Amino acid sequence: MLNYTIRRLTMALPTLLAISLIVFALMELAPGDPMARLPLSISPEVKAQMREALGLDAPSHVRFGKWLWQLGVVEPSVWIDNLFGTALAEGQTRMISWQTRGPVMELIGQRLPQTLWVVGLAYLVGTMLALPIGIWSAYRQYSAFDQIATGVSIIGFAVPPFFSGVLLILLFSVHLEWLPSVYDTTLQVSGWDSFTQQLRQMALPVAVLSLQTTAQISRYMRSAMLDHLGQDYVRAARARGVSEGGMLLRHVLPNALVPVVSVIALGLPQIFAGAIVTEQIFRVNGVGHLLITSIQANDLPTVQTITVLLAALIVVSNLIADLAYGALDPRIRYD
Amino acid sequence: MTNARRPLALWFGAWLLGLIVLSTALGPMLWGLPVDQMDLAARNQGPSAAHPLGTDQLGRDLLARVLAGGRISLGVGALAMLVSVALGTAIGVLAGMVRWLDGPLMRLTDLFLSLPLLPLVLIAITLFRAPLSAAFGPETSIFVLVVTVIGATSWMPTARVVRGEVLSVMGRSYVMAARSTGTRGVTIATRHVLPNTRSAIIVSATLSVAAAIITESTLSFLGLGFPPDFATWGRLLFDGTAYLSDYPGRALWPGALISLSVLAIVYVGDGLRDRGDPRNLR
Repeated sequence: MLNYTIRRLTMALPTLLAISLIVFALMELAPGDPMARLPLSISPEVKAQMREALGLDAPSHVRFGKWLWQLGVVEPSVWIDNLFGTALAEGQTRMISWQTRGPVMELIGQRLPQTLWVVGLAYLVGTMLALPIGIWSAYRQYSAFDQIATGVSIIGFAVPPFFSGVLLILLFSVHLEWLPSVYDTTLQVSGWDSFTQQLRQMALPVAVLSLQTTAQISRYMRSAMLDHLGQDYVRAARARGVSEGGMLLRHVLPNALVPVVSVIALGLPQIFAGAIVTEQIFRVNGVGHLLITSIQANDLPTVQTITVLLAALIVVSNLIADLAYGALDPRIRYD
Repeated sequence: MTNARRPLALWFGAWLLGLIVLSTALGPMLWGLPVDQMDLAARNQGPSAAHPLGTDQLGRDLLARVLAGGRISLGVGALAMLVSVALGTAIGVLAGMVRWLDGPLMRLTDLFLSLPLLPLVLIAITLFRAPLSAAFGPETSIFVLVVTVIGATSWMPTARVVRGEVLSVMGRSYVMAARSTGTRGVTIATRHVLPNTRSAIIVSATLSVAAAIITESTLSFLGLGFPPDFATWGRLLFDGTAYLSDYPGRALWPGALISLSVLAIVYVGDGLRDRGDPRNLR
């Protein structure tokens, strides 16, 4: 297991490198000039100086190396400095956003909590709903409950988040007027009132995102349970007089959960991509919103950094999914 | 689901899809109102005989716009599917038939699967839009760009499925017989491998049409796909959300059509899968 973990980790690094190379190359290949939007009154000499100040005059492989250095060494050491009060990153240039002229990581740090709250809660709610739905659908296969759950999960696939969000706003904000449709990001949770307000404004974005998660995971849970319910050990457990609930929860569920846990880990990047859309609908100023505004403003350092961070998230969740498989199922040996 | 229900789902999906495709293809002929004709005297109207779905904030007929938008959304879906299935099939067949290419091609597939696709698609479209539209004109270039970018980022599931099928076909005795008579690799691929992987390719083609329609709508919804005056379902939905509380129909119609098309295509794909699966023929 330890060997396998180390091997998987060493495989993850080249993947990350290749991905950052692709992201970088895409920006390089694209025609387009960061100086194009400056006023025409600025003389070419000054523009050349600005180019030099931004490090744009160096050849692309040098800039790629510098960018990797900033991403992999400078930013983590700034983070360590902030945590422990050391001065590892002193004198190093950080990644600077072309839009705000501040460090990119600080920008992301300001936006990350909103995204993490909404995405994390959606993932938790979605999974907590999906597991019981999947279990019961499989246990009562072809029952009315199963048919409805199947229908809902097909709808969860066919109704993309930007439309389900619109439908929920129409129902809960416009008609019933129960919940706000716009996320108030200036809200500080200081007491019971502001806490309920925070919950109310998070309800719709979380519902949209968790609908997607529930639709997907409940299907996997159902088919994994069905695979196991027909097996001999289930009949043996019944014959020994194990109660139905005990049979489901203690005998079938642990076996059926193994593939589902890796599906849950693999779905994490997908829900972050969904958050890009949801943040746009409900105007949450999270990382997805930052990505869209940076793309529109041609702020390449911010766009590159967010994209690579998302890629890192995908690689890490693939890693978790693989390792979880081995850790949960003792029959799987990686040698 | 029981086997008896499946053909029903296939027929339901096929009918619904046929209805949507026919009405968007023939609609602009039958419904004569031009898409971009503004009539500021008839702004923000509700449904009436002259405008069955009402008009928008510039007095443009919503029915005409929805029908025209369907042409683009379904067209992007179908063409992006062709690109993605062609790429995926080529890579899958190569990986399954040529042993030394198998490893590198599957690593490439894994690499593409770990790319954050939505951000990359957004970036590619924003960066390449301006230079391309200078070269080919705004409408053709954005269409080609969206189709290419969606196709180039969605071939991975097809490649994996096709590779698996090809590997199993390559182990059959008729392929061995063809080889022993000295048949060339290309002939084996076109005469034996491709016909026998057909059903897998068709199923993944239907799924990739559905995915492409959703991706295109997402791009347009984020305001980074087709330009504002260009009616697509995603764009109409995006424009409609601004008037959601007063004129909900403007967002509901295009949204419902996106969902219905995807639903119909998924049903067709599911039905075809069960038909192609010999385990269900019993």
